[in-house]
Amino acid sequence: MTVAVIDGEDEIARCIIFPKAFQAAVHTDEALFVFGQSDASGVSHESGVLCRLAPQDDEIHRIGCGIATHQNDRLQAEPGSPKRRYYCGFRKATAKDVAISGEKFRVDLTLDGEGGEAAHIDIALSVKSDSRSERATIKTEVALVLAEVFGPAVPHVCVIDRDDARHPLRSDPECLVRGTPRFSALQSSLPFGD
Amino acid sequence: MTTTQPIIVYPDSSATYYSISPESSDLYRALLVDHRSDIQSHWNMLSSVTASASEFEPLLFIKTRPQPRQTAGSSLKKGGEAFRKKYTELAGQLKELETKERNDELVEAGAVHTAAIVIEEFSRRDLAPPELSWIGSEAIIMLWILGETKYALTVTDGELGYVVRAKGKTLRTAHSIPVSDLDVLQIT
Repeated sequence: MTVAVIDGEDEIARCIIFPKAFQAAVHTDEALFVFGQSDASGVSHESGVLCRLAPQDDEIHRIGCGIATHQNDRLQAEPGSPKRRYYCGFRKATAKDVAISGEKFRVDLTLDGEGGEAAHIDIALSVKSDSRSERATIKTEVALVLAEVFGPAVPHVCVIDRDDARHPLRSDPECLVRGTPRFSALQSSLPFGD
Repeated sequence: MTTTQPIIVYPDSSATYYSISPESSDLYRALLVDHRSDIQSHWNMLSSVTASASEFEPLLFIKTRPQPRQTAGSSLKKGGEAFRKKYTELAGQLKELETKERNDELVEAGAVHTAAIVIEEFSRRDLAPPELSWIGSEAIIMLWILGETKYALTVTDGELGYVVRAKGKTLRTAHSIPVSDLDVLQIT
């Protein structure tokens, strides 16, 4: 585990941005981390917030709103645009539960101050495998593991979005807690054996 | 009639009827258990035409082959229309992915094509439809949640990998399964 200035007992927050952390119109555990395209060194990056440097919920919300604004500026997505990103809140976990490692992967947390935010953390997933299928499967597994250690969402609507009917929390106030639809059928209806 | 021993007839065989003793035969008792509701129905029918139906005992049992236990697959056919609708939606989502960007990244055509094959096969086998997600540009995730257990199938160009997790532990994982070997997942 790489702690840098981050202590294992530190709380970190993960901002929930629509649509990335959503499946359709609902935020799901499984979409909390989507380790996408790796960089040249084979590392995928996601963002977090060190709560020690942003101890109030409002500070984390401000950072989250800033991330969405930055993305909207880049996409030229004005309010009401179907391309628009919406910050919807955050979820917290303990750093040592996020900075996990396995035989072929490692998650490193680095306080990098990206975007001028002193509390910004780079959450980097390194996977060592020459097999594309294995790399992708490990990414899936790590995303599932990380989602399990994050607590419930603290919802928020940014000031700029308050009159935007497209904001997920406006159209469905339960969208952060509903989760992935639970399948109620029997095991044998799945494509996996017992 | 009360002294006549019941006869069992097996409709699928020509030499399969014989008498049984109502008092001593285990088979008779088993039949009473298995068919008590049928016997009661007969008594009720007789009661409607005679005041002394309790004098009657069954004269003839017809024992058919046991009905196959209803499997999950067949029970799920009740939801067949819902499944078909969901699979149609999934096929539409995959079609969109071929041309549309999500999360700033275009999903690789090979992964989309492989996912379409998998979805079509699952639909054909009347299996429960998954929820879809994406890992950047290289993979499509198919997710099922059953109780506390999560099943995640990771589809890349021509290959599959999967993870099964429950109660904070990975129960099973595998990767680099050729899409032609879907049965490796132990598809029922």
